[in-house]
Amino acid sequence: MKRFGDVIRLPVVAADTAERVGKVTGVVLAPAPARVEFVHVHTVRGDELVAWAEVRAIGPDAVMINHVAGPFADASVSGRQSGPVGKSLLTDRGRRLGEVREVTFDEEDGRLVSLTTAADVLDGARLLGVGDFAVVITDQAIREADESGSGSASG
Amino acid sequence: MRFLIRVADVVGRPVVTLNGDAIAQVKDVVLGAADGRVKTFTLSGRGLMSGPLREVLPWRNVRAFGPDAVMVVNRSMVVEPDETESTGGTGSGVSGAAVLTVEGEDVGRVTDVILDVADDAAWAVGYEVRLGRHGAGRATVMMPVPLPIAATREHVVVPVASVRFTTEDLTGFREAARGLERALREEAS
Repeated sequence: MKRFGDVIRLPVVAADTAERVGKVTGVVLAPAPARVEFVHVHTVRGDELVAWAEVRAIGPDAVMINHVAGPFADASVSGRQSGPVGKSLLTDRGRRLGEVREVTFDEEDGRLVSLTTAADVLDGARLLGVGDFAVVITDQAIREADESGSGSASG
Repeated sequence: MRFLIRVADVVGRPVVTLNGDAIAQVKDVVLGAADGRVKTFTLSGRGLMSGPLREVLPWRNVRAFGPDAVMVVNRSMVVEPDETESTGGTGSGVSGAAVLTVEGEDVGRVTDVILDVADDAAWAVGYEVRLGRHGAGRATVMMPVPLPIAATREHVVVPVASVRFTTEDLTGFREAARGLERALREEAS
């Protein structure tokens, strides 16, 4: 299990040439199934997205990729540059659960294990999307019946 | 999930796709004249420079009206306004209207509309009212009203009993609304 905080800023190294490609600046998540789809890498060419399939290993000191096959997808034109950490966590019922502080994934297969807010750890399998504004997960009726009587439920 | 919220607290809430993109924010809600139900959300763009949008979000395209955001499946849920749908009073349109009882007494001014939001519908259940003749008083209360809503930009008409069942804030409002319902049933029988 790896946390986003463990891999951010790790060097990305090609296993075939030992060349240093760049450093990790983020992860791009995708739903159905919830997983890490790309690793966001800052290279000499700019910000690029390395597909999970290209990742050979996520070690304690470096992210190893199979080949120096760059340039990879340009993160600024793909429109998928935004990572989950720091975004609002919303349910599909329009309820804000907090801000995403940490993301945990399985380094073997990229499966998203959990999303962490200041108050909660939520099952990563609930992921529906990560956009420019929020990370959206299924509601699953956590803490039901907290009918807001206070009115200004402005969060 | 079921909650009460004032229209002023809905205005400015983001409209968010399941992909997590905020595509607009709520400008106002359009309520059905007869049943007080939320029919449409009017929208404005997000960000400092963006103004009102021509496109609207009809209730049937809403995935969820939550306490913190209005959720939609994707961008295509926001559509060109259909004339039949955008008729009706806007939630903030009655602000400033005089609150008259059916006996013709002016008890104050509407400052906001209270919505009851359930999973599949949302409807007006009362007003926030500044009490005092012509709203000159200082006290603001939450006043339950029965359906159908009788409201124009100038006046809203409420049963005399509504005045007895006001609350200071939304806490206890549901109970007050049930009390009003009972009182009106007893009056009718």
